[in-house]
Amino acid sequence: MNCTDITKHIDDWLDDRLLAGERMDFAQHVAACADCAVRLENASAISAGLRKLAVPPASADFEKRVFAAVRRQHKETHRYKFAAGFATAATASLAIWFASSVLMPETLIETPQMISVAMHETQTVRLVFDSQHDFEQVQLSVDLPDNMQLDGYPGRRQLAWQTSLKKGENVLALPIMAIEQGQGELVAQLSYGEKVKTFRVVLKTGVDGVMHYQLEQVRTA
Amino acid sequence: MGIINSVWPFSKDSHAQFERLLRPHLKRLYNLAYRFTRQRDDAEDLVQDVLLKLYPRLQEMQAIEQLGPWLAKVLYRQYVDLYRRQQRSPISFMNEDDEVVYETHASDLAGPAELMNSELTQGILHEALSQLNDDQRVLVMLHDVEGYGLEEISNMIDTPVGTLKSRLSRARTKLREMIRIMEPDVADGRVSKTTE
Repeated sequence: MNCTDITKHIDDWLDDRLLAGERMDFAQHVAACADCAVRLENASAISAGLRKLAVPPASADFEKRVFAAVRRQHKETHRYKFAAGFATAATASLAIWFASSVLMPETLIETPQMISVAMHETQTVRLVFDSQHDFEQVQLSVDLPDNMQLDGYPGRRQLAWQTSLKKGENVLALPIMAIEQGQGELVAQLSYGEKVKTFRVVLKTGVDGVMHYQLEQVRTA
Repeated sequence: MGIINSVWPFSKDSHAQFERLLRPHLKRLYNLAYRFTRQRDDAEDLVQDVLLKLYPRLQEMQAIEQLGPWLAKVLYRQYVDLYRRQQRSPISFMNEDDEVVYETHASDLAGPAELMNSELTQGILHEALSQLNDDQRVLVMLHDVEGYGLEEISNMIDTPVGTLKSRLSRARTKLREMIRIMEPDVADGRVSKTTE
């Protein structure tokens, strides 16, 4: 190696990316060349300095504060009970029952009940998926109409997460609030592998602030 | 009706689960956030933004085997989305793709003995780092400061390893040149040991 090679390979040397033979050539040249030895010393000193760059400690209450912020923003999760089924549902609760073989071609739907609710009040909309098997790593997403929002998620129109389905009934309880008059689709989509099922529900508020809903269609992709 | 499985990702102890999962990573996230933002308050805000965003993905996170690199990637993306665009310096020392070769002459360099006794101050390093463009600075921070491998960084910032190698080489060359300019004592061999 010559001085140009040393300059070219100095990062490889520092990152230990040279082959054994190259490393030996590199070391031999540096041992014999004062200029290259200085170049290497400079580069090494900078690398060492970077590794020691300090970070000022976070505020004393940082950890407590960030987790408190998470709890505040997502506080609604404590206000809803999920495990006990409809027996604990709020009086103003929508129950949309997809008594279907989830992720299978055929789908049966029970006619939903009609309920009334005033604007700006949180309503628990429960979607029930009846699965014939256990499924792991099912992707579930929910899209809301523009005039609705999930309590605790202002401004968000979509939530998506991964979950598992158990054989039998699986409930998705959504704390929904109508924030403006109007109507639109609530779309819930289940994906498992290449299978996708989309459930659409029309939610609308009446002129008197009453919200109604109806099942519009169920599509299997 | 039998027991109903909830497919809503939040249960009564979701917060506890979330905190147990994230707490061990918090310091590393903060450090990384500080490397990116260079301000403690901004770093704390960035980490908080990330946590708020991640909470609904608790179940997904629980299934991730190597959570640290995954979190670093989320943090980086959040930084790009929220901070970098706002705080990009209008002045760039040099574009990344500028092909400039810094010539270093023997007369500019201190002897090995002097450098063996020298230590670059953190202030000078920070100043030199601030002269890099943001892509270069982030890369140096991730690789040379935080010790992430190029493969990890490639995955984190969605950039090919080859591109990262070139970028890192240019960044280091620029860094060495900046330090040579800012610290002439290093260049002519009049280095005194710093107290940092």
